[in-house]
Amino acid sequence: MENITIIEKSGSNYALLEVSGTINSYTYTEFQDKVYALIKNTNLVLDLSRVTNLSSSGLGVLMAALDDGAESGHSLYIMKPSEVVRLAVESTGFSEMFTVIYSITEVI
Amino acid sequence: MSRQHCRIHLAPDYANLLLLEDFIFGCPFLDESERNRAVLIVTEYFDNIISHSYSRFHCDIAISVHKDKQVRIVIRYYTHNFSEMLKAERVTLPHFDSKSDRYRGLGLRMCRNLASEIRYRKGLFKSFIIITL
Repeated sequence: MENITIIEKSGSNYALLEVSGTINSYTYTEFQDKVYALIKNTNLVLDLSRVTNLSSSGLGVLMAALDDGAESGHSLYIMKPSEVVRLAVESTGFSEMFTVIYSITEVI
Repeated sequence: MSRQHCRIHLAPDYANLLLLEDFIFGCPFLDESERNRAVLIVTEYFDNIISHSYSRFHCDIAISVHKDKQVRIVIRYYTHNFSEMLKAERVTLPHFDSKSDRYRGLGLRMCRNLASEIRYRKGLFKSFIIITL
């Protein structure tokens, strides 16, 4: 059984969260706390390549983080989304709101 | 192709979302695309049932996955307010919820877009959500 693991890294103009496992109602609060804290201070890159499920609660956090970033002048990037993440985002009909990147060099 | 199926019964507890994900990923007859869509839809409904359904009994939620020509998922559970779920399915729009500090109202929208058909059926004691991928 896979829960959630979040590894935090930073660069000159961004913070990077490498997320593994599942983002659902049972696990999302740690993810929510980290995302909201970071996007207020810097650009935020979420490496979601090892995410195995992304529920509407996780998507709701991502959408709220977009608002927080717009307010503080920072950008949110989704990096290398796994297939399940890509499907989840597209199924909301709001995929155009998100910036998807495939390398950290796209932020620098 | 012969008919294949898997079934699980789970108590309505958020901690069981992880078991439910493992169950879907362990269905050997689903291909990757089917597994990904199934896990998103089934966990979303399981979450909704725990959050919003009301029952005087604490009964398990039964989930079965069948594959013939198409993949069909049946979620069966006891509830006394199934009609409220049906109403929410029709009227809930995405909105920011200040209590949970995130957007809500996305889940059933996701399910509708990921499935080719979703049917709801209220039986005498049990309610059914029948999803075709």
